[in-house]
Amino acid sequence: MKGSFFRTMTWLHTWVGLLTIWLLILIFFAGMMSFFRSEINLWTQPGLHKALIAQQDAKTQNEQIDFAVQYLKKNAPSSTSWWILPSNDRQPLLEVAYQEQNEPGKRSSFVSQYFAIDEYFTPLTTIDSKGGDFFYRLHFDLHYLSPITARWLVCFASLFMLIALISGIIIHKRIFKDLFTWRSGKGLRTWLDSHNVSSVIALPFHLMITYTGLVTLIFMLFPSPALTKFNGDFGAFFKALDNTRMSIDVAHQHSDMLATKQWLEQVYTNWGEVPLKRIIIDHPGDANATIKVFASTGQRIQDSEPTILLNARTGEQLARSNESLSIPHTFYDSMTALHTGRLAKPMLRWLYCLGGLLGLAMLITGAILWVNRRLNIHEKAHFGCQLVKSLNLAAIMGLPLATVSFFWANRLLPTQMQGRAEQEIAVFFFVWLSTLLFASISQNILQWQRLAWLNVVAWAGLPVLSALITKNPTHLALLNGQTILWAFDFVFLLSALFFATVAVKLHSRSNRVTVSKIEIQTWK
Amino acid sequence: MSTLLNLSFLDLYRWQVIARFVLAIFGGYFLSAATSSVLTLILPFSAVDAVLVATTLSIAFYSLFFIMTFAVKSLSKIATCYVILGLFLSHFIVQYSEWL
Repeated sequence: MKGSFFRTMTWLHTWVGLLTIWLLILIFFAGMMSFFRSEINLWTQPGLHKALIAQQDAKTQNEQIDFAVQYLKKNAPSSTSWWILPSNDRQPLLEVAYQEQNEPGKRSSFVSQYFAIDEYFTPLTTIDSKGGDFFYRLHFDLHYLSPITARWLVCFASLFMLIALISGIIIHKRIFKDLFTWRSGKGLRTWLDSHNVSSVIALPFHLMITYTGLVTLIFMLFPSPALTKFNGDFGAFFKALDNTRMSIDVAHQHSDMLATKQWLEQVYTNWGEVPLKRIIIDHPGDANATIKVFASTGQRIQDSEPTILLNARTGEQLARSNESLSIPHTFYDSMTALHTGRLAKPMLRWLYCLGGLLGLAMLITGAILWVNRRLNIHEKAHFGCQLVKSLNLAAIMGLPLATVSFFWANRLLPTQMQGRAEQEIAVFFFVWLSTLLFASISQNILQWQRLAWLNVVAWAGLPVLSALITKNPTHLALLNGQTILWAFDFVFLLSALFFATVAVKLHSRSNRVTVSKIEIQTWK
Repeated sequence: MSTLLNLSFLDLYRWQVIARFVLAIFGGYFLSAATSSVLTLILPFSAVDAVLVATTLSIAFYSLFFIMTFAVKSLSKIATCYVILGLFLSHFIVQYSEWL
């Protein structure tokens, strides 16, 4: 198409990449944040912070479940669904939720209540905030778009990412050598080296995360294999995939539930005393009520939790699934597990984060490389170039600024505010849009510097603000062993330091810019 | 005259690029979906397992078809390829599945 195969692939790499790069930056960024979804959830809920102090004799899993069932019986007897999430490593508190009956026609909503797992099951207060769930949803549902539209867009971008990765590998002749090649201060060459190094170091991660990301949405993206094999009946496929997904008719007849101890014993007879991920009790109080128990998969490379479905009145076992997966099933399921990274302990979680950062570096250097190359060819920037430059500035400096604003809003918005969670998100998008407007005025180095310094101030100020609002400064968190809290402050300061370095670098660049213009001309 | 020639050349090139993208995005999707669907009928696994493996592989097929669409020099050759392969695979699906 463009002469030789290599030239065609170079062309494809450039254009496929450029077309979706900003959406990919958003997806990568939100995905990286999602690895810390639980942790961000906890940080954004100051009411939960005292539960992060390690308990002397924390309640056991069985005691938690027993307490939760009693609480739900008393507080939500007419609810259609109860959820119990016992504490785990990442969320050392008990979460109890129930579906609230709304007027017919309206969507039912969940009410959540958190308890410390101390002696008294102290109830904890929460504020209306999406926290880490916002970034998790942003990763594949974007926002202000219908989820289906958003997911197709995300799939499309991911597919282009995969094509860009493959064509990138094809046009790259010296993968091993480039691992160790980085020439600083050489303009275009340095950007290309940075692009290569960030791509190549984490290449297995980039390929894995892109492919497995598509696998998480695969039945939306490719429904036809299931439809072909199951003669057009998608429901039959999902039932065969997981036989605990059955719907049971309500009997409309009151009946008492089996004692918690009894059904738990039955679960443990099957699985041993495993940690449980969640328990869902549907139609509690009805004669046909069911108890669905999900075991935690822990550090196994398995995403679908082993599940048991019991009749809540008799304890009769109705179905079991995902206990030992077949090899073909594992082929599929392990991909989802690798993508979500729920299996990761803190060390591996940070490695995931590093992979995400390198992915961002790859995208950002790619975007900058395109502009700089254009500027070398055409001295005067045309509209397309102008647009790319603005989008780069808004994506690279604006996205962190929007994120930090989200955290500021989380601490500053009044706790009783109507639609508070949505307001936090509105702040995120408002700040991001503002940086885009700011970037569309001019994209020179001065603009980059201004936004970099703004980032420095915002990130560095966050621990101070948080300490003032929550009255729990970093050193206290450190003394109390609230690891999540001081780790957040540490990361905030690290981000500030990063942007300060960038700002200083830009400063020395802007002094040199007149020189480099002459350089470019001689280079041409 | 020369500007006119230039313009038509540019347009031809542009149309070729658009055609390839359309072919790669939609045609590639159709072919990879069809290949995976046929694969479910061939794989010697249980019905669920066959679907899981074939569906998971569909992304690899898509990438392959996508790259191929741009790698082949002649546009008409690749388009013919698409039509023949598409017809063959859909025939297979219609023949051996009650879907459609």
